[in-house]
Amino acid sequence: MANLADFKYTMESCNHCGQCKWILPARMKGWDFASVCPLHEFHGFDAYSGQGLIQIAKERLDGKLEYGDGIETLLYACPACGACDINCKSVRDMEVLDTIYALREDCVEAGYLPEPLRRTAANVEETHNIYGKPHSERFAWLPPDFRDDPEADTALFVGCSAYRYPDIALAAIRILRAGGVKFKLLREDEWCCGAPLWRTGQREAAEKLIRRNVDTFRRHGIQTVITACAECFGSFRGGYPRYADTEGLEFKHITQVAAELLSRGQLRLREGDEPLRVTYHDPCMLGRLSEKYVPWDGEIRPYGLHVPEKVWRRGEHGVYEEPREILRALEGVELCEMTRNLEEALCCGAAARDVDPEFAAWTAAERRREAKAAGAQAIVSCCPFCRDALGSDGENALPYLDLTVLLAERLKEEA
Amino acid sequence: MALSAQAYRELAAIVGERYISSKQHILAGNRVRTPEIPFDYHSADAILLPGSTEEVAAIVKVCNKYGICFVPFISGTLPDAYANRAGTVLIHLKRMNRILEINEEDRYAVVEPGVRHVQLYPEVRKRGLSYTAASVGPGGSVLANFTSTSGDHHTQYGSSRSNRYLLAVEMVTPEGEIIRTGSLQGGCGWFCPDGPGPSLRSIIKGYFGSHGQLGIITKAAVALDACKGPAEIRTEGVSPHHRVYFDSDLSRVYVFNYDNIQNVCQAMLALGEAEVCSTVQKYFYLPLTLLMSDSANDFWKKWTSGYKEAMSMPLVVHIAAQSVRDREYEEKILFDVVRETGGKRLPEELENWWTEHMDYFMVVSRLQSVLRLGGGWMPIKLGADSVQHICDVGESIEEYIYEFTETGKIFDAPENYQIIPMEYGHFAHIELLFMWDRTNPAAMKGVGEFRARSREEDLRRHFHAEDVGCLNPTLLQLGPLYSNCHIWMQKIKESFDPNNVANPML
Amino acid sequence: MLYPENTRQLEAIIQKARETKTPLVAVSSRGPHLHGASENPNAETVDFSRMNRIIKIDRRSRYVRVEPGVTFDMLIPEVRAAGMRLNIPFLPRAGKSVVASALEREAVLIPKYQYDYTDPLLTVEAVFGTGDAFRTGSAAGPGTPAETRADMVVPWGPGCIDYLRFFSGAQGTMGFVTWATLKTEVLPALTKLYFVQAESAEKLTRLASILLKRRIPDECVILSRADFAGAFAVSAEEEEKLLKALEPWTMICRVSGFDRYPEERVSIYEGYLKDECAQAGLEAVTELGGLPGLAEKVEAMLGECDRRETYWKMRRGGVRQIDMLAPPSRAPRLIEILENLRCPGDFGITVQPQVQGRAFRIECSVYFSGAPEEAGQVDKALEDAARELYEAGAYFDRPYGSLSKLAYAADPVSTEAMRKLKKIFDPDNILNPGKLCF
Repeated sequence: MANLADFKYTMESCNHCGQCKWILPARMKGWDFASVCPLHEFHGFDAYSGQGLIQIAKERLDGKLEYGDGIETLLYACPACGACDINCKSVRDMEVLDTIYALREDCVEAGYLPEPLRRTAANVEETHNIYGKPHSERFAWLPPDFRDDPEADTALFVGCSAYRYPDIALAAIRILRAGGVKFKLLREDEWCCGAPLWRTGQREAAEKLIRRNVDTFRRHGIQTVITACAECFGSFRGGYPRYADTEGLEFKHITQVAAELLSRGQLRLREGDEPLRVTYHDPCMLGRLSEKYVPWDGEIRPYGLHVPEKVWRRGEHGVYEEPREILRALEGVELCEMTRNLEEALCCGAAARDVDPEFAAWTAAERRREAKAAGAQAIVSCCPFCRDALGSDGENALPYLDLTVLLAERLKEEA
Repeated sequence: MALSAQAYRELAAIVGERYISSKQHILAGNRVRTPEIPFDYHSADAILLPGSTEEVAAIVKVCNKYGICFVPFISGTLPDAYANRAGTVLIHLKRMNRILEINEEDRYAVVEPGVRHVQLYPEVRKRGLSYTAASVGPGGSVLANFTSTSGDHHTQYGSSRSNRYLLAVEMVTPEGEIIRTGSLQGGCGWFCPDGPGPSLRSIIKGYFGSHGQLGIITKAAVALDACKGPAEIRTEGVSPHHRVYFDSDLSRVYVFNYDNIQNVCQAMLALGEAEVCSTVQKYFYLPLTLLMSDSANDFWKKWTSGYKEAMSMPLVVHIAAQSVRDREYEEKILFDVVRETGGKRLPEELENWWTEHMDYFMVVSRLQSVLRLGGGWMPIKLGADSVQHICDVGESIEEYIYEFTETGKIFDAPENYQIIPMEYGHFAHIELLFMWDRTNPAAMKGVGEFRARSREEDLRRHFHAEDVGCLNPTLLQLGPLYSNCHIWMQKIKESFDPNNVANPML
Repeated sequence: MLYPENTRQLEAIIQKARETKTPLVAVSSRGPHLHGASENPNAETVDFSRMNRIIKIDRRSRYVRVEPGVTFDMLIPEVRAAGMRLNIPFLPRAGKSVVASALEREAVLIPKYQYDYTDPLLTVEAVFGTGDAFRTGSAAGPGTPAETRADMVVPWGPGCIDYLRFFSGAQGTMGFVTWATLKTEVLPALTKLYFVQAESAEKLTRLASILLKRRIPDECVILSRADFAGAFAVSAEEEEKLLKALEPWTMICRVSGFDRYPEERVSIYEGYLKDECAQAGLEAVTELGGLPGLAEKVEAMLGECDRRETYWKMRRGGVRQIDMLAPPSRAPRLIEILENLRCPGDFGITVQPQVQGRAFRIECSVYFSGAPEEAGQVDKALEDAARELYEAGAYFDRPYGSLSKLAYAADPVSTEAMRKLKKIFDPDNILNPGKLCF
């Protein structure tokens, strides 16, 4: 049963202040790049925004709206990037993104999950990856002589994107090896992290898969899971605790590990590279949406008092600095910042691609335009889906570099 | 009366199919009740997004042809931005979002309605200029602020209310004609709102704007002041704990607590006569504590552990000096005045919040955190007159508010009013902000009672604590007491909007 | 001539005029009248000279409330006795109505205190052409002035209409004002007067704009040599001497210190003034070389009205004026056009910075004998100049006489909107008909 009613408080709290649509004043730089909600910027109507979606949710809860006339398209065109959520939470105690998730669950229950997302879910169910490729080929890119450490309590979770971008997985391996980190791969036991399920409201399927994955980690004696995929990382931290007990499991992104290795001198970098001016794009699921989810089941008393006290995810403790530390450590690389960075980063639009490809393409082009305006010769990020979106040939084309791959290429010979 | 298919077609022909919708889920984005309102809004029949003045004029003409009411809006923060009856279309002006000109020499900017504070403010600041950005948060429309809402802001002590800074405008009348005011009417550009002779500026905005009842403003020029502070904003940290600092040699904030509004009044007048300080405001302690809080729970901890008492009557002062010597001079006078009037400086950790959040003094950011206690809030009074008179109004509140705070009808913050002087103390504005538990449906009754009582008490005392507003029911209640202005406003409305289609509220 | 003594009488006058369809024009100043406001041969004149009470001077809230018959020579000393000063035009004539001056949006001498073009006018009580009394801004209510506890000083509203702006610049075409509230400012404890001279007005307008952006000077006005000499000389000989000694343009400005540490403020602000002058390649001096005693005279006259028997602008016998508003970017070009004016007599130009330096009121006064044939020539010259000035962007916001044709030509739709309002407040068109666009 969808838990839309759990978010009634949020739905009834919105004062239309507009914080969900616009950059926080502390970050304002000018007329351009001032909007943080690409959905609202592109489509224009207020319904296309965090505020609009929670009000659609309210009308669904009150039985005033039916699916079938376009809500589902709007609902899944929203990339669920969390900009609205974080900006709202800078001043309010509301759960905008969770309300959107709950609305998605409601939509799935009503039988209106859009077809492309149904297909992806079917792929995950049948082949344990989002592409529908044979599960047996998940690690086909591994060199035949690769050996991991079966006794390690750290796993490298490569993610479904290894099918498309094995270079990222290989680069992650190189980095861990060079830094002397003992790890193992889960191989056939590694299934999709479940992001395409829980983020699209497919609660039942998500719960089943996530619990299965957590059991798998435990069964393998894993205490730390490292991934180079921002989506997987954000799911482990922001999604998994909703469905399973992840006590004792620590999740890290490769950039966190690499930054620590660099600071301890355990990674040595090559010198003498060509100068390159880059900007770093903060992936939503690595940045503002990667704080650990802490379940809360309590009472909201008058004047907003949450009993027991709630741990809020306001985006402050996302992974922002470590990727930048890595870039600053690379000789010849000059880092310039976009206006919308850190917790205000504009989403790349990838998550909207299946349902609203025109909007998704526009968003990616906008982000590239912003990167160029910052003076960047290339855009760097560490999410394979951002790579799909930003590295595409659309308008404002700009070279895209994956940070994990870039770092691996700059390593001196491994230890 | 629902929109006829023919009317819809004609409207769609103006803006294009992409920019009109009557789908229910689209309309839902602009009709769900906001927490401070006791009733559901009407649903609009359609929402349109025009892209130019010409499109707006054409839409208005179609509305007149078919008797369709229209309501212009941008951010939709106020109740006046919603349909209040069937047969209404919402004209969402967000696509008209160009900054047409920033004239550094003549010190004005020309904007379309969709330009927001977070867009214009940094652009003018880069040029060493600033303007009076009202306290509506980053998404507030500059044009709407200057022309429709009150346009009060927290830094108007050393400047003034937005009324003073509104220059020439272009407006589409309720019949779809395009008129211009001031120097623009005279063919001489944007710099002057007045003339030729008596001014059409008179129907653009009085104390408040008309929220589209006398027309839709499609371009406006706003005057710019010198910027006191850095051109580039230096931000540290990440939301919600980011910090914005200014150079402390020239820019400092002080917070003093008082126990008596008349002493605050003395202080305000004395500082104003000395023409020192950039911001002086008797702030309100509930928002002050909320601004400093990370969550409602954090607020409750602070509120019940001494913040309420420590900041019961805070005077917030910001000095933005042109030189170190100037700052020292202003500080000397400030401390003299505070000492003479019995103010006590707050502990550093409480004062530091302001020092670390200098963006407050630019676009008054984060003020939406006053909504953190659930969103049931209402600012009342909102009138202005001399500093003394307004402080007298403030002083009288304690004579009737306890009846409501002690019975739990409204939040227990009896001194929660703010007074902001303008033009170095020539006048001041008052806002009594009260909150209630909006999760309790019965609370709205108490809200209505308190609001009525506040008005009743002010009228009984012959206080000018409130203005009559635009052409809404309050006008009919108060108009007879205010030089029968309701009669004149209705005559003007009838003359300019004979078909009564422009956001009718009566 | 009709001489109302209170609002009730005025209401009755207007009601009667409506019934008899008698046009009315208002006069409140003692002569001479420089803009011909009373020239309407078919009209009955309503002379407000008997409504000359100073109703209130409030030191605490810094305002005065006066009836229209109160003139500058009456009010200035009273305000000074209360420790305050008015923000008034440069050397206005003594018999000028203070209310009329403010309603006409005459340029004021202390631009830093002027936040918009209606400033220092705050609120008014007036009677519309319908015969109904009305009070603007926070004077509107609640209740009558006798009942309300407000000081009635906020200009805006009531409601969504700025009624004050129906009377401002209107030449009595919407209603007749029966009292007005004006801002006053604290009298400085210490002032220091400076002169800045230049070959071109442009250097001084640029300087003034910068100084006022930083709110440095209090009084600030720019005078051509002719107007400076004409204003401050006591005789034709002295005027001649000044004309020889002065540079083409002079800015007069003053920095002030108030009750608390006045010397320090003066020191800081004169430092800013000198810095800005230096950056502009100019010099601020406290004396004008070779003209002993002049600084003291200017000091005494700044902020005062002209109490001399002959108003300084009438020293030749007659005067015709043209004035306009211009933003800083356009002012130099307009001044240049005026400098090349060809007309009988001589002329002076006063450039008064306005609204904290965001505009200038440029006033050109042609001084001639007063003879009718010369008057005709002067009028023609100014009419020709007006066209050139308009093409160059001059804004005639107070379109007296034939200027109204130019002022209203650009936008007939907006002009028609103005006429709609006139119909509401003066449905029988009895108030100064034929003026402006009405």
